[in-house]
Amino acid sequence: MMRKIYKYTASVRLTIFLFFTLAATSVFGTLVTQGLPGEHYEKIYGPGMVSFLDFFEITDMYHSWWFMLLLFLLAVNITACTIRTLPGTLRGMSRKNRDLEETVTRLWPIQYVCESAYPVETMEQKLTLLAGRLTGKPTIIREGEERRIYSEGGAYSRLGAPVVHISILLVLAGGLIGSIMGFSGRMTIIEGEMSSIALLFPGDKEEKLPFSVKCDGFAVQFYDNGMPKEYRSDITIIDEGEPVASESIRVNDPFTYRGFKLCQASYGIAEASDFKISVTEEKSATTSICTLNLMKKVPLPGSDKSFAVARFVPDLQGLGPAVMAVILAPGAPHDIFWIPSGLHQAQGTKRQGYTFKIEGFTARYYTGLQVGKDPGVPLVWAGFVLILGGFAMILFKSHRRLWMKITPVSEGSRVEVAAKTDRKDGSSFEKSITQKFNKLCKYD
Amino acid sequence: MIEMNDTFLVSISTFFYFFGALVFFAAFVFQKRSMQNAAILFVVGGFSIETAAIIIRWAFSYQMGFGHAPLSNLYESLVFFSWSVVVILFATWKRHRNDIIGTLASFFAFILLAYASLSGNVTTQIQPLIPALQSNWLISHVVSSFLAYACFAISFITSILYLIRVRAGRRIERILPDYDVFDDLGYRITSIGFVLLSLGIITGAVWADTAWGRYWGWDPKETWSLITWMIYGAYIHARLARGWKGTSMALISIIGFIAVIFTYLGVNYILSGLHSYM
Ligand code: HEM
Repeated sequence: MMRKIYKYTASVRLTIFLFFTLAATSVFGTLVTQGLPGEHYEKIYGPGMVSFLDFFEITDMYHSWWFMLLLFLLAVNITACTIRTLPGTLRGMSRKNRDLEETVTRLWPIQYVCESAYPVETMEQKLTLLAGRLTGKPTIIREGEERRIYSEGGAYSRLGAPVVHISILLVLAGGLIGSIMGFSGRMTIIEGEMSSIALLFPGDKEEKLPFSVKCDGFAVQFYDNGMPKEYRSDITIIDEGEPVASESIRVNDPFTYRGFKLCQASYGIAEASDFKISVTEEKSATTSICTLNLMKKVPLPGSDKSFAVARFVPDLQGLGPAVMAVILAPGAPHDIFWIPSGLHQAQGTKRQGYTFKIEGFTARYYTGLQVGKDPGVPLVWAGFVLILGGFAMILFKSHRRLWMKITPVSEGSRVEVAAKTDRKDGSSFEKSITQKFNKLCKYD
Repeated sequence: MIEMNDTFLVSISTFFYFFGALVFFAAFVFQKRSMQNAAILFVVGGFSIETAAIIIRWAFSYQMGFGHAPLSNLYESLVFFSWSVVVILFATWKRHRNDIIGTLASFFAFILLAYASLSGNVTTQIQPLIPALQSNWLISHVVSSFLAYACFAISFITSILYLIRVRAGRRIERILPDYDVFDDLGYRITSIGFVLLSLGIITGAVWADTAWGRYWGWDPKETWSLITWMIYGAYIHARLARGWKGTSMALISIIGFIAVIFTYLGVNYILSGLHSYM
């Protein structure tokens, strides 16, 4: 019973099963948006479905108990398989130069026989050179007049698969370490201010960093066509009250301090002031520019009404920054309306015979930094490099074995050749052997 | 310069691939060696023109002041995908001069280009790079991913052909004699594709770590690339360690390619995520 379980645990059948199961279940997590607050799911799926989702933790599926269990089984599967097969592979590799039984070599797929006018000694020299070139350092066995030459090369390519397997374990281990000891969160810092608080993902738990980050400034640049070109936060790290480093953080250009990596993630407008709003009176087509601050009214040109900005929002339903404006007239109710700015609103907002347009404002930005610490990353990187190394061993090297027997015949010598190689080598080994021997034996 | 721009060249190579596919099919039906040579000439011609188009587009982007490799939006990725499919077709051509694989592969390259030029929702404009794409990892990530996709496309083709041959049995023995070739070639190409896909996922992870501060976030595109990787991982193990052949391998390859297409397009059209090719 135990043997059976062990055998299954170490089997490729389990590997294939786990690959398919992980692939199939992963699909769910891409169909159900992950990590939203609970109410959202209630709204989309209804309460009955939600208790099902909750039980299987489908709303945070990739960290659920059963997904972790599948990954754990994968790790066990790889480990068991490596324990089962690696010792044999290593033993096979250390038993390199040996005298093989002819009954064994007769079964190899490549077989070749020829006769040559060269005497045995000359042939031995030639074939020793040839074996070295085709495979590796040869072993020569002399028995009376008979010579046997055995050589082998690229045996270490058989270690490629175990290397890949062990590197996968490294990556999984790195991921586990990261999810236990690492953390990931977001900091929001207004220009000119300083913070040491990160809000953790998922949820909103606060974590205090051992240092503070001051945002000296934030800038966003656009290309001519309006697409964003650069988001940049200029920050200063303040550690134990002292400024220790000043850096610019851009997307794809993070900054790491004491193992904490700071990445540019988002931005927004915290406050705005000094709104420059152009007011065009439609009848006379005269335009004047008013500078306003929140709740400070100014007279509306050419009338007894006045006009004020009541509120600023950084983004009005995707139209970009906007102000809520009010027209105040004696004896009339307040007339409240939105003036969006930005690309979509080039023609301005019309109201009571005037056209209002935001020409500009002074913004105070905040920057959103992603802050994270992941002690598992070096293991993951090592795993990645080794995976590629393992692939290279498998792809670019083949395990080649060559066995040759030279016996004297009346006029020269007779050579029998047997050879064997990986599937991936295809017929190229066989071709080069046939070519070389055709040349050697044509000598007459 | 306006007339001879890169999108115009791409349209020309679209026609070359189409005629290449037609002549390949004729070579297959009439079993004529000379037609086969004509077909491969069409495809080589289309490929040269497409390569020129990619280089010209690259140069244009520098003239426009924001130079970058043409791998940054849906149009450019479709063009590169078709280019990769033809590269892999040439790679198989060295081993097996198979007309029907030639037909289907050049037809697939044609379809990709036709979709790129004719579909209304694919912009052909050269756009500057948004901040997230401004990375040295962009080229290696996209190139290895699309070469992998191209390998899987050819493997999909050989798998379909294998299944047709096995289903139809003796009746089409005369026109599709060597169906073991489909199985063998499919396996070889898929294992190359698997290595390239691994490289694509790894470079993507390293890039994500510098751009977003995490190497893996279970974003739908990342997850689908992993789903694809596991399907082909199962394929590789089924062959190497369990000796599967034939129909079951062909079926896994077909499921794998559906996952590839979903990773490439479905995620963008149906699901939402960070990878904004559209
Ligand atoms: C997540 C990734 C992988 C896992 C979980 C995995 C797991 C396993 C397991 C458990 C076995 C069975 C042990 C055995 O019978 O030898 C196996 C066999 C094998 N794997 Fe993998 N593997 C992975 C990736 C790879 C890759 C990328 C390759 C390379 C192409 C590879 C090549 C092989 C080979 C050649 C065998 C057969 C070895 C033999 O039968 O002697 N594996 N794998």
